[in-house]
Amino acid sequence: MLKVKGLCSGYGNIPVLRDVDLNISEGEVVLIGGENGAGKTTLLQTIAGFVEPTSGSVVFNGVDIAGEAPDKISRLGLRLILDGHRVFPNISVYDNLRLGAAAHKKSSEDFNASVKEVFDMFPILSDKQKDFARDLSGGQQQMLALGQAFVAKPKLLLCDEPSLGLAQALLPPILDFLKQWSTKGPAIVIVEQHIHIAEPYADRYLIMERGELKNNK
Amino acid sequence: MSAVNTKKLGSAAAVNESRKRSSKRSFPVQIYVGLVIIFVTTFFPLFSSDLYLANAFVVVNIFIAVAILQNFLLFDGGQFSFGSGAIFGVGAYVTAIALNLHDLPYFVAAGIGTLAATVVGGLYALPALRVQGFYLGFVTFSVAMVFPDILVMFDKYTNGINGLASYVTFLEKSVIGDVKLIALLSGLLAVSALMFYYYIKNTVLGRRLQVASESPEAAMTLGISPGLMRFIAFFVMAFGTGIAGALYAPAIGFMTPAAFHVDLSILFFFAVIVGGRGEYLGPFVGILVLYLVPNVLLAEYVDYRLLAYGAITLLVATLFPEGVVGFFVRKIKTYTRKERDFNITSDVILNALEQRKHSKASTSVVTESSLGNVIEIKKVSKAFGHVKAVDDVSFNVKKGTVHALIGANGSGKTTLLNILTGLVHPDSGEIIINGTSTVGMKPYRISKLGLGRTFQTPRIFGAIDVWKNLEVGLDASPDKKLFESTLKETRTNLEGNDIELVPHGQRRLLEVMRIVLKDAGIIMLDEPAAGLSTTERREFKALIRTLSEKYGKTIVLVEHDIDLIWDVADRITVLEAGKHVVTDDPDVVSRNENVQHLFVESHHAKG
Repeated sequence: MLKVKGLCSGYGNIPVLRDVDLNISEGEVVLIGGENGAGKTTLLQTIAGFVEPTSGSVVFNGVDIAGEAPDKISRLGLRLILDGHRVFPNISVYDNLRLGAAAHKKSSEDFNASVKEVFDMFPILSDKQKDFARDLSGGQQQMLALGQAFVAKPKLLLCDEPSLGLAQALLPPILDFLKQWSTKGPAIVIVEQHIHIAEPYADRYLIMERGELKNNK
Repeated sequence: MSAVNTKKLGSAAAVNESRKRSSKRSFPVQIYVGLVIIFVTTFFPLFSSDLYLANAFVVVNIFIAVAILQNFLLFDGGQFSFGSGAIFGVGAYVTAIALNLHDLPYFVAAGIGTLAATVVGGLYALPALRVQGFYLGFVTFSVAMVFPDILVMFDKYTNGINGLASYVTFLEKSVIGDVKLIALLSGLLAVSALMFYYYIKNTVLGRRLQVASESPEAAMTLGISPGLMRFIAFFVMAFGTGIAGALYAPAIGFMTPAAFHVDLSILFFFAVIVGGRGEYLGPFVGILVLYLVPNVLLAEYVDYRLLAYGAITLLVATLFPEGVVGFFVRKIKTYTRKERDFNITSDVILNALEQRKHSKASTSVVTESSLGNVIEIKKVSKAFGHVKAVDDVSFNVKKGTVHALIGANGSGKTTLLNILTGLVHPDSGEIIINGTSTVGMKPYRISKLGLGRTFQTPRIFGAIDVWKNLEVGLDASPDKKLFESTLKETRTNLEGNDIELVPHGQRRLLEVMRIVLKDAGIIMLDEPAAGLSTTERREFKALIRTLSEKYGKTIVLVEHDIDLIWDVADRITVLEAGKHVVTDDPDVVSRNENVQHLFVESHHAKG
């Protein structure tokens, strides 16, 4: 589904990614760990089009997306959840979910079903669905960001530190939720610092080290 | 320890040090270029006989001074003001009135003009205490709009649309060749404005202005009053702009209300945007382009001046989104930047604490209650609309302990921290910190009781370098001098480095170190371990234990990482839906039936 080959990117003349190869097939859950500053976030952002690659190719479902605009990549079904609770603060929780699905033409039954799944996963969002997103606590906003991505039903989901700001006890159910979802087809890439919690849910565990992606052996 | 190949802070190679030392002594290139521009424009008659251009340059230097102050107000003070033209106008017009209608000597008249402009600047600062951003922009803009009409309306004092002569003979004398005294004074004014802007950035006040402008909450927790900072920014801007106005009156020789139309304010604001916010050379480029192009090069189309401002600004904004100077500075930075050659580690700060411990006892005053409590929370409640974020919570924090606050998302932990630091006022209840009841106190006063905190998203200030980001903590410390001498090497290594180079984990550490340098006896950390790697987490745990055990700091910790809490906490408070569940030792808490759900997957689950 995703074929990354020889990918390099960086900021100005400072290289961050050095010749990264990564193949991901349908239904796979891939975990990426590594020190801060190793390039994990940059890898996700380069794949999703937020950082321009300096060389290499990114092929997603047969389309070369290297260097394309992030909105176009997102419409192809590749979704990135940025770290730091990026939700729309001045609209309601429910409207945030609607916006999440907006760019992906889905029938209203499909949408309602996915919203129900999100609410089952995070009951607090159901209780607060009419509240403004800005009134949610930091952790609740993170839940909403996950929900937003879920209702869009992407083919490939890239999650940058889903646990950030969440109660630790919430991480296993979220990972389980993502794992269950992946069995229906989508592939999921998770960047996470809580490796010991996340590893059991992943099919593969890779380590980013100074801009190079390595198998954890 | 870090993924980037870095040297440990405090052991940088000599080459590196000499590079930074040498750059520290000299001014930035932009200052030199600015001085050359002022020199050439001031002494222009020595090189050319073009009198029209020579006179235009007198005005240009005065305008550059005003634009530099506008830059200071916008970039360093964070205040949107579209009304510099009116303050400038008050300075000029009051000077002219004093000269013409009251026959006062020029320098007395100029003093009165400057004073009047400063008073008006103070009036601008009043709405700034209530509104910010573009709201403030429009308030000041409306003053600039009505200013010429006010001049006409009060014609008894201003001579109305007939205007006033403001010619001063002795200023027109040639002093060096054909260079007039007025040209020298306007050149001197521009130099003063430039040097003021350079030096203010390296003072405590300059840093405090930056911090208050980027994050008022963070400023308050560092003991800085953002309102006072805004007032100072307006005051300084108005004073300088008033002097410029007082010089503008004789430079032009005749004052009419039409000279102070709103487009003058727009010129000063756009000059900063076109040149590049925060850059020393920005106002130079902005004024040279925006004033000279329409008024000198296209002099016959002067009626289309506003159109020219708009067209140039649009063009510049499209081609150089960060302003002309800002754009090139950014380009140069991107392509000359080296890989990070410094590392932020906690040992540096701990060393500093250690050295100070030997030289004298800590001055951070911690007044305990008879039971050894530094924080007492009594029946505190806070509701946001119908949501009770904190509901009748009472517990105490003992001196020198690591006290963890845990609970599900939305259980009120951050709200409680905000109440303790004074950023949020409780609806009811009492809080006693270091023996002082703090309910109703301003956050920057509470901060001075010896409190420091970090935020969920680290408050790292992009406009100042890595060292200054630490120094803002030092500025608030009673032991600044002592710390400064022990941190010389750290300073050399961090100074001049762009904050963008610092990766996430080190940003958190930087914020904690800032609070330690502030010499806070009580340190509150809001999710400090979020996003830290396993290694960084381990180091962080060690740091917290050291701060508490060796230096007697009280640490209040909001954190989701249960394993980390178990390793460091002496006491744990559990909150649920805003209510206090239990405060006790970790072992007792872990046996509590009501909190088992928090420990899922943790090594400490005892269910």
